[in-house]
Amino acid sequence: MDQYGIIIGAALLVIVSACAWFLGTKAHAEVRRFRDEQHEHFRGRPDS
Amino acid sequence: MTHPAQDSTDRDKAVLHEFGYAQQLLREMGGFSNFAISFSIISILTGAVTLYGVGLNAGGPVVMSIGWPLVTLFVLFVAAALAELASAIPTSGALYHWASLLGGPTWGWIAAWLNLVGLIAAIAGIDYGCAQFITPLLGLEETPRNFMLVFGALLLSHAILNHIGIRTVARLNDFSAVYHIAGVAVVVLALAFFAPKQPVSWVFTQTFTTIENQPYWFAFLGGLLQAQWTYTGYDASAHTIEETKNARVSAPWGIYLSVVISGIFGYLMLIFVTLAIKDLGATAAATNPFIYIFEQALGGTFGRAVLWIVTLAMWFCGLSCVTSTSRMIFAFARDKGMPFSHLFATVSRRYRTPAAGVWLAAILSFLLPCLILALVAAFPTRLSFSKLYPAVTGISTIGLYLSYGIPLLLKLRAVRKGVWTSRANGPWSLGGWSVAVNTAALIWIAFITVLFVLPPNDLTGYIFGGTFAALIILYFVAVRGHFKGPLPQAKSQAELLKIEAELEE
Repeated sequence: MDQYGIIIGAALLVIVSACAWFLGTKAHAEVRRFRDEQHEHFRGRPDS
Repeated sequence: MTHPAQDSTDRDKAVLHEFGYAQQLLREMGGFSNFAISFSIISILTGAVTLYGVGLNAGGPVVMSIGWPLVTLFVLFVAAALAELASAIPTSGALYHWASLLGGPTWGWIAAWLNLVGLIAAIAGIDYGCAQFITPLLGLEETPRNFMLVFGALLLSHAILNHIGIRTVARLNDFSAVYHIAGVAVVVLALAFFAPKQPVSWVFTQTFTTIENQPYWFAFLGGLLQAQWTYTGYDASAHTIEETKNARVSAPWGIYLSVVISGIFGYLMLIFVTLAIKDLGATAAATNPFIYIFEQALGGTFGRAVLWIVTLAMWFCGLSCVTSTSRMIFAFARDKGMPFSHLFATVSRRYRTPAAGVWLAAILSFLLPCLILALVAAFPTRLSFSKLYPAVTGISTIGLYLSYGIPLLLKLRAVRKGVWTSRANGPWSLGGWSVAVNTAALIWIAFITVLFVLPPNDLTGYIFGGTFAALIILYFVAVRGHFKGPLPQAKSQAELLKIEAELEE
């Protein structure tokens, strides 16, 4: 563990960050696509 | 012209009507409130803190530096897979409702009870953990009797507030989310500026265990209970989905982002707390290693002030968990899935909260530690009081994750059979990555379910096994053939509108 702890820790942090970013981006794109297909668009603030 | 906010609420209500349910609960929660309730139940200042000693004794600092991100990675997959289902089927029955629609009423019934057992144990774990901190901070003797008295008082406060109203609780949940982030900031800054620190490499390389007769790697895996229990309860965003505006998008983001944000802030806190350890052996041997670190690093008064901040976060966490559990009870009882369903499916006319469900959640949560204390008293040579807390949290973790796993497994089966196509997806989905993420999530759930019942967590296995056996007996004696799964509340749109109108009076 003395040799590999930092390498394993750093690699894990990179993998977790990349996965979190990728899944979030993918879901965001799917939400936009769904809204386009359903013709849902932003129609101004409630008080406008 | 239709008001955009009104349009969103009407759309939410229309989707609920499609599933045969009336809008009985007040739809008051925004996206942030929905995120806040899951973030508050995950509560990095509860799970990671109250089980800090368990993690440290199992694998030492490496459990914090490597164990936390390892668990976070797989929990991200579970959360993303659940978020997809919440978007597709936005009802407060959530896991139970998803399992029923995908696999039939029996699967739904099993998922519901596993979820309920997990949630009840979660409330018990959170409030009992909070009592373990409040009792010494108040200067009371750390005895099982005092812990139980403080624990009972905490449960009472949560039940009363949840009975009084969703607006109050929603405001407190919003505040709780901000409070948790501010609380972690205070902990990190206090330790960064005022505590002596170990070198950073020490946290990543220092192995340590007090568990005998087991190889280190196995003890390390057992220590993952700390992170895994912390990451529970984020299904709350789905349980409160009928109270959330723009539910099919806001609730899935609530599930997913609560895990992501907890991952980041939880890691920061654990690293700085672990860096502040002066003597690893003495810390691990302390009654409460987390309190010990603060007292050693920051001194008595300052250390206690920071610990009060952490303890209040635990109280917020318990409050949110009672909210989530009561909604689960309400939804399950609405579909006649539990004894005395007619009672627990009622909504308080005055407050529009599932009041009976709130009190049932509080009472059952109080009874669980009582049961474990009775077991310890009955078998004093085989069991010890120190095993109570890991057992409660272990039951909660396994119950909740199995209930997460059932709908995920059934969805994979439905995809394979071609029953579930992309047309069934809600707006929040993972597209082509859905199957891979679901599969990874299921593998992890299977792994931790086995891991957390193996020694030294065998008490968890006995109690969970006993509970599961009792449920199977209940199913065959009283439920089989009678339980029909999710039931529409009315046969027509007009009847649903009538139910809603009666509540508006």
